[in-house]
Amino acid sequence: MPQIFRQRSNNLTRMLLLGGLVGSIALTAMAFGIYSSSFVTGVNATPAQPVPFSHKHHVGEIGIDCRYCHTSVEQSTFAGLPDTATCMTCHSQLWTNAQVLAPVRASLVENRPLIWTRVHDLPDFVYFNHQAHVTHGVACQSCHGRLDQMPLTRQVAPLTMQWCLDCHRNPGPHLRAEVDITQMLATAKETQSEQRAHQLMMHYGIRLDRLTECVTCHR
Amino acid sequence: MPPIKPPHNPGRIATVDITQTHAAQAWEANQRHEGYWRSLAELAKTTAFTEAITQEFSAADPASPGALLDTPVTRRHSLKLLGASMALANMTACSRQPDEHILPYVNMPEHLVPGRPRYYATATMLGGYAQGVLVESHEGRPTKIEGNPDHPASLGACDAISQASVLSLYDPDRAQSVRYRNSIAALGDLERDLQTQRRLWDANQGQGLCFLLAASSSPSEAFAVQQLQQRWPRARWFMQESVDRRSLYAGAEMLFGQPLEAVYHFDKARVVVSLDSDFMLSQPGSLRYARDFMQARVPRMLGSQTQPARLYVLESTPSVTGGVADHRRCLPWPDIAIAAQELARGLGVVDPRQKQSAGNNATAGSGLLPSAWLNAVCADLRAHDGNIIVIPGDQQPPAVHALAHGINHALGALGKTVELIPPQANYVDLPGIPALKVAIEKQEVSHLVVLGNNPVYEAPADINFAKIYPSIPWRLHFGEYHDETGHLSTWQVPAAHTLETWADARAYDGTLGVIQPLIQPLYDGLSNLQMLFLLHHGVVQDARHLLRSAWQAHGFLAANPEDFEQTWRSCLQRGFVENSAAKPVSLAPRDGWQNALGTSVGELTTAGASGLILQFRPDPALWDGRYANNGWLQEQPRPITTLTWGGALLISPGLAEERGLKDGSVVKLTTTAGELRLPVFILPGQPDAAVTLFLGQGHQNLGSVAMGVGVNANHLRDTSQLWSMPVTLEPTGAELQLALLQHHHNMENRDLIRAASIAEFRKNPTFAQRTTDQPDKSLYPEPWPAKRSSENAWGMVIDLSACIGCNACVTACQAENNIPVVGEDEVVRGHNMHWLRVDRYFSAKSHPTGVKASVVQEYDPALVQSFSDAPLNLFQPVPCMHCENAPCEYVCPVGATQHSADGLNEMIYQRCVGTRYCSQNCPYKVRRFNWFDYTSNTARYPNLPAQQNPDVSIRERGVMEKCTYCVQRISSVRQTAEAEHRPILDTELQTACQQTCPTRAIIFGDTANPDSEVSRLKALPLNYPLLAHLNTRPRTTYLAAVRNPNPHLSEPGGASEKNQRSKGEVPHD
Repeated sequence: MPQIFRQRSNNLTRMLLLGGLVGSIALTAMAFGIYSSSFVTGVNATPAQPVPFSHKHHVGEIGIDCRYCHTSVEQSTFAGLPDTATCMTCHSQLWTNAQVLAPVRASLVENRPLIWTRVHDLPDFVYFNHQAHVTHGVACQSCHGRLDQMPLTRQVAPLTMQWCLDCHRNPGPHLRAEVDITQMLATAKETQSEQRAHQLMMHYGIRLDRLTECVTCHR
Repeated sequence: MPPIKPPHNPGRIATVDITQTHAAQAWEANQRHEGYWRSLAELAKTTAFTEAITQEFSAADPASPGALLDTPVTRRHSLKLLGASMALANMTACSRQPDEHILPYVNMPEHLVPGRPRYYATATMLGGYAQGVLVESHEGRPTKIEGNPDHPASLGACDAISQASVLSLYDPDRAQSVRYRNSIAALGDLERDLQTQRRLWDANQGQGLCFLLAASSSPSEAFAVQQLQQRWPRARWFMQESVDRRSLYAGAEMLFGQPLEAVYHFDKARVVVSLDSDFMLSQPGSLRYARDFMQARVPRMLGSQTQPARLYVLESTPSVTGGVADHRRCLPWPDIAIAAQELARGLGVVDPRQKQSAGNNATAGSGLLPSAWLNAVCADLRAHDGNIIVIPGDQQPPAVHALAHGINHALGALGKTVELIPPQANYVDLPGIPALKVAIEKQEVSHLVVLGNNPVYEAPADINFAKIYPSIPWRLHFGEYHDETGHLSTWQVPAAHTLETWADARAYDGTLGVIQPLIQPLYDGLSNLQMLFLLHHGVVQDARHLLRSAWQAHGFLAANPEDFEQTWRSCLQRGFVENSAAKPVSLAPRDGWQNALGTSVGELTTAGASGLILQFRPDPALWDGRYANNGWLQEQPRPITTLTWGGALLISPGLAEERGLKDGSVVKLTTTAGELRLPVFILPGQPDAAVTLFLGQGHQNLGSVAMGVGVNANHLRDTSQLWSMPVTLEPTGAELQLALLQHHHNMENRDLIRAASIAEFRKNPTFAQRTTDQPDKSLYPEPWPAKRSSENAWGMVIDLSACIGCNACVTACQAENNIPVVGEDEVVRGHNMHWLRVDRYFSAKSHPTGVKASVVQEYDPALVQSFSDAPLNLFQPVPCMHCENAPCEYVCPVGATQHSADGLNEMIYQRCVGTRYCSQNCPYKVRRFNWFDYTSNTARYPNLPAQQNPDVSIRERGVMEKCTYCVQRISSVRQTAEAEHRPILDTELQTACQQTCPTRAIIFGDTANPDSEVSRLKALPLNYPLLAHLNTRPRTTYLAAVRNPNPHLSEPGGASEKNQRSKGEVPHD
């Protein structure tokens, strides 16, 4: 009976085995690559909005505090989006005929809400709480980035669980004093000494044990 | 339920040789368990039962491992499945989250904090009476109903029907538009037609116009009706309510000469006798009554020397009130009146020489109640100086009401524990549906307006309303559903849900409550006031304006108009008008009221003197059927029976033996009014001579949930005998599987229930502590206590003395935690998803005597006989135990169940891969698995996203879930406390089940805080954990039940007395 496999099959087999190994490693690496890429995480995504609202102008140039519009950030899970009436406190006087503001005026006239698209969208099984963060020394900037430099709002952080846990495991370096929570500072993390971090942890009474418990964010 | 196998031998009675051993074994097992059992099958240890419970999931279940192994699986097939699963699993990773949108307000309401729920005080309605509630609203979306702690009818508790009404609000089957002859029409069309009709009515003063009203206690509605009566004086008015209270008023009329209602103060009563009154569950004021009674009864709420209240119950169908009684006797419905008369005679209220009427030959010769029993009750009642209550059941005939209040008066209870108030319900004097039938048949009705009820469904069979209704030329139906009546009507007008509109109503004690909307009407429904105004004026007026102007015009709030605005606002905030309870009247009985009694009792009892009696009862969940399209209520295990969905005819074990029936046997019932085929359920405690059928099922045209579930009891009813009538019962030989929960999650015959009488408890306060609770070996790392770093340690105590098994907590948990409805078929397979179950145990400590050598199919008649006579119940709610040494955590291969520092056993749905090892390893069987897709739009009972609690994840198919101690509430309270830099207060945190419990049987709190109530209770000697010998260290523990039986009546169940009576040994007094 003739042999089914010739000698060169040996090499072929070796190549296949090696190729399979390399291929599977490459595939895994690619999957990880894709998974952590901004395509999936949405970093730097700038969704279209009904009004091209500029945080750069309102925060950076005019200096309006975050809480003027995001009223419930210190009391609720949800930071709150300004109602049309809040926009119109100024815009009933300023830029009253600007074309970009037409949807805002229409919203007020027709009593229909503006429909914004979420920039920071966590999965539905994550129960994030703004109140718990801003009352315990986590600044707006820590997650939302330098909004005072963003003409159009975009996502800065990857918002993956890994990213959340990086801070939840060691929040000290990311904390700020109460007065600085809504401030946009040039650098935050780097200026924090270890001693200062510890001080702030004590000041806010942050207990590490609960921060990495599952039900802290998932329930 | 695990099915009981159909017999191979169709013969009724099979003789089995091993009966003696069989009974002895069961008795032995029973001894270990101190005489508590959950079902007759368990008691008798039938083979089917044992088979069914050895497997965690029923063998009949195609999704169970057993069934999978039985089907031929080829290697090729499994490889295909494996490959497909892997490929499909990857598919889910290929999508990005879809864009989400945020819609801010245009003008945000003042003080609103987006993301934080707000609570509004309003009321829910049951049988026309209001019950104060607080409704949780998330940005204008009502999601959860809680009791209003300030409201006298609630005191913070809430019943299952009110809890579930929020699901009905979003029910897509509700009537969504005006309909003309079943086609969608506009409100304008109706207004145009009404213009013509009203001209006609104006011309002939309403001749031929009839109104059929539902029960109501709304004063503004009564005034609107009065105005209509003035406008069309020749129009005729009728009132129809399936569960009406006419006999209550008739009884008061008999005794005092005027219709009155009674308000009871159970907190002041030492001895209570219930004459077929289920006052803890199914009558107006039941939440308050249950709370007050337990306040006077539960050891932890009493001083160490105070004697607890005692409860005697005479009832026709086992109820929760009878279940928690100290002494219960079950009698057929007509015999309650005779027993009441015997009681009255024993107390000298009725002339002892006065014999029962001649009509009662069957019972005239002997006392129904054994003399020892009667004498003991009478002595007990006399000994308490007016601190007693004799409470008649709403469904009992007027004579029983007259007798009960005659006794209350004679013993000095009137004005003390029982107060009489004028009728709080409207339309008490209006004629009922039989009078309407006469009018229709005489062709005197040209127009009929049906306001809020569903007579085609609920009218007794002898009325045959479906046949006579279409003969009326112009018919308008106003109701929440396009129901059976709506389908036969000319016009159907959608009614607004109570959470959508403005209204008012009175509570059981007359407290005037305001009903305010939480949301704009979803389907343009009208309020009752709007509907009456539309009929009167031909246009629709704003509901709020109508209510306010009625209140202003009639001065319900303040005498001078300037104060109105302020008092109105405070009323909206509180939910009711302060101090508006009805003023009690003090009246003495008329002379010679006893004379009217004899004939009355005689009339009522002759009907049932021989043969079988069929009794009707309002369903504890569906009431008269108006809530039948609510999945939560349909799936709620009914108190005592644990039946869900279709329900069944309740029969006694004795009758089952006699007729060769078993659970699920289909029988044919025939009464003078009609016949029905339905399955039976054998309930220990049911009188042998009577069978019971609950109202509320068998809808033809209500909605997709209620469609085709169960049978309509009204098809057997007769207007002359609304609550009880003679019946013949014939077995058909067919079998149905009942959707029964009683065997689900069985914990075998272990030492789970601990109970004692108050005397035993005082003698030995530590009776609940067992040496066997100490584990001799441990599977878990010791020594104890383990190092713990958290400042809180959550724990729960459940007081078995206080639990009445009403299942309000089960529905509250369902609402709070987004628990899906699975449907009847799934319940039959044992797939119900309730995180909290209330186990119902029967207790009968007497030794079975007179063992017979025959068994009916698989039941042992000796056991059946000895326990069938009114065993008492104990109810044990079983949530997750949150074991400190949780067996489930050790076996999860993916770490989907974890322990938190503060002691919660966390379940992480996102990690769960559905191995179900945790459930297998849970000794308490509290874990629930999503076998199929129960929640999405393609599910049989899809969830309603608008209703759901936004703080709790929706679980997918293939994921395990269980009680979380309401972790979302803990998180919310903790985050607030942390933001305010203070510790969590003991009073600010309640779990959903705790909050809703009428008797405060569930207490949750921080066991690390020595001053918290839960710590105080855990330190009591009554406190015991379940299955402590496993060393799981559960955080949920129980307080042993303590009852207060009369020491002069040795047998709580009265079993020996019954045996005596059947031998005719009891002398007639």
